[in-house]
Amino acid sequence: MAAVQASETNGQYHVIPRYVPLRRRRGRRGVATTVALLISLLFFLPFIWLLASAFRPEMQTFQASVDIWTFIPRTWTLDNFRLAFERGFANNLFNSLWVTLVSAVAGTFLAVMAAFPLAVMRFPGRDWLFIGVVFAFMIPFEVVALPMTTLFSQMGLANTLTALIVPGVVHGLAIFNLRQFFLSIPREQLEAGLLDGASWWRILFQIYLPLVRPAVIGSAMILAMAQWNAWLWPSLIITDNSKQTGAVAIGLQDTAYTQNYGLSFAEVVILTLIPALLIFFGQRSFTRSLSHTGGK
Amino acid sequence: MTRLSVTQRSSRAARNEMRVALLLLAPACALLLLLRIIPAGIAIVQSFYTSVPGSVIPPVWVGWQNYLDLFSDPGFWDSVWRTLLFAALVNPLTMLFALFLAWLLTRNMALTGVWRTLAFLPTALPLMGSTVVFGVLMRPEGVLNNVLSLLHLPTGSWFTGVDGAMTGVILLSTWSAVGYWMVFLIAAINDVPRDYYDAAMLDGAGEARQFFTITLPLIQRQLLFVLTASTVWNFILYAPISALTKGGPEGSTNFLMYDIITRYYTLSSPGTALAEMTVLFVLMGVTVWLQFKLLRQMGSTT
Repeated sequence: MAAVQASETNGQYHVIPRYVPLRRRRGRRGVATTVALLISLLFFLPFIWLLASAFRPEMQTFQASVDIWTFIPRTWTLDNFRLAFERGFANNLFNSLWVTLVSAVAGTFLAVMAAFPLAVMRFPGRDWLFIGVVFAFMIPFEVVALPMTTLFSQMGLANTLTALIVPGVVHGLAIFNLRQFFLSIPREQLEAGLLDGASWWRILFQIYLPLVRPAVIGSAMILAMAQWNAWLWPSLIITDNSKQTGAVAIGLQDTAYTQNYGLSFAEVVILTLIPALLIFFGQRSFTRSLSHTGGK
Repeated sequence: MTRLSVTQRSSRAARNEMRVALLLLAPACALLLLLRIIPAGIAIVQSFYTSVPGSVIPPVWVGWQNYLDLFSDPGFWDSVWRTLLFAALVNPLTMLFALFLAWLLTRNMALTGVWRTLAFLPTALPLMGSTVVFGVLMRPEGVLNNVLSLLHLPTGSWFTGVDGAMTGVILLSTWSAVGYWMVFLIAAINDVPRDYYDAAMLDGAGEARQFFTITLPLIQRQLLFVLTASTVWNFILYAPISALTKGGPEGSTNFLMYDIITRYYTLSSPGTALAEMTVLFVLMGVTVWLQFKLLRQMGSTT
């Protein structure tokens, strides 16, 4: 904190950085970039291998040693993808997309509605309610899922996409992220709105919501990823493969060692394509959307 | 000036504010009841009964018997111990790696966006997807062992050996989650005001001192939040266990979540399974509660 005081007593924010010779700074930049490149390879190489394995005949999955052909197929084939679509994987993909989309949209709406009063409005018991809501939703649904299978089945929801959507529309992180964003907006905005006689609904939708657009995107992403990845609950409540999500369907043909790996790889690639594209184009805005989380 | 406008407001406006607030919160509270409180209640109540799944015999109240059965089963304690060991290894590893990456990728370097995107990319894979990929990569004759022997490093029997299985699951979980948490931490680091660093540089503080005296204290709230989310996520890790190790070899990856499902379905003893689920529920509740407490303390000191 001494550092901060120094800048305050100086009273000037035009700071001259510590003298570091240009060559050393360039060297540091080079080292940092190299380290980043090497670590990124750790994350990227399994993807390259996955892609290659999806496009090669299953027999070539295993090789005696590692060389360039580990990451490039010797023989190119679309058989794995053809097989995947023949066994109805397109259906599973569609189920995943639908469940994720509906959950993300409904869930974001719900998170906005919950986070706004918890951050901006004043009423007795607000802090307790906030702790209760975030506390409870930080504990994943999976932990209480077992008794719910009976309940959902009794309500006739087994083997329906509704059964997959309902538990996915709330996420503790999504509400928390939005609330922190709402908190970071100066209260003057609210006071001005109230003085003008605007209703709370107008204040929420016309003043606050446009200001927290990044956080809305962030919360939607958090909800979407949780649903896209969900495994345990769908595997418990869905027994009809045509209603199953993609993430569960990949593993379903798994019968110990008779598994067709090529087929699995193709399905993983199909399932990864859309989120990977979203990440390629949206990584920056997702990162930005999480700033202000817990910030004060 | 904020005070003034608040006191000026009539009690009618305050009542209206409360009504709107409760209306907005109603859906979340309804779901809270439906998806957390009621299921948890059912699970706890049923953990005091014994029942035969799929039969017409009504459940019988047995009191604490399910818990006593559970606590006298060495397999349960082995599972608790394995779960805690896994949590104690995987969460610090994930957090340190995510923090290091977040720090590294907010430095001055070329192509930052590319590295961030690549590290974030595993998020695109559903966990079952990374499980399939790692399951094959880490087979005894798989690519990982080939690479290791190429580098003259010791190879491992990953998901088929007692020690290797735990290591394998840790690597798989870390690889899948690090990029996701990294993005949260990058956002946190970006929130630290630039002036602080400029002032520190003026004082002659190097990178390391800047990190420990400015970055770390100012992002500790987010760090703690991400740590809890990661801990909770790893407590319920299920797909890789079910697909790759089935809790084995010799129970070395028989974590609580997997043990619960096994007891419920394979061993057909829902009562004991739900008693175990209550234990896991309490374990998780304590984790999240501790985190809230720490957040509170930090809030009061800073």
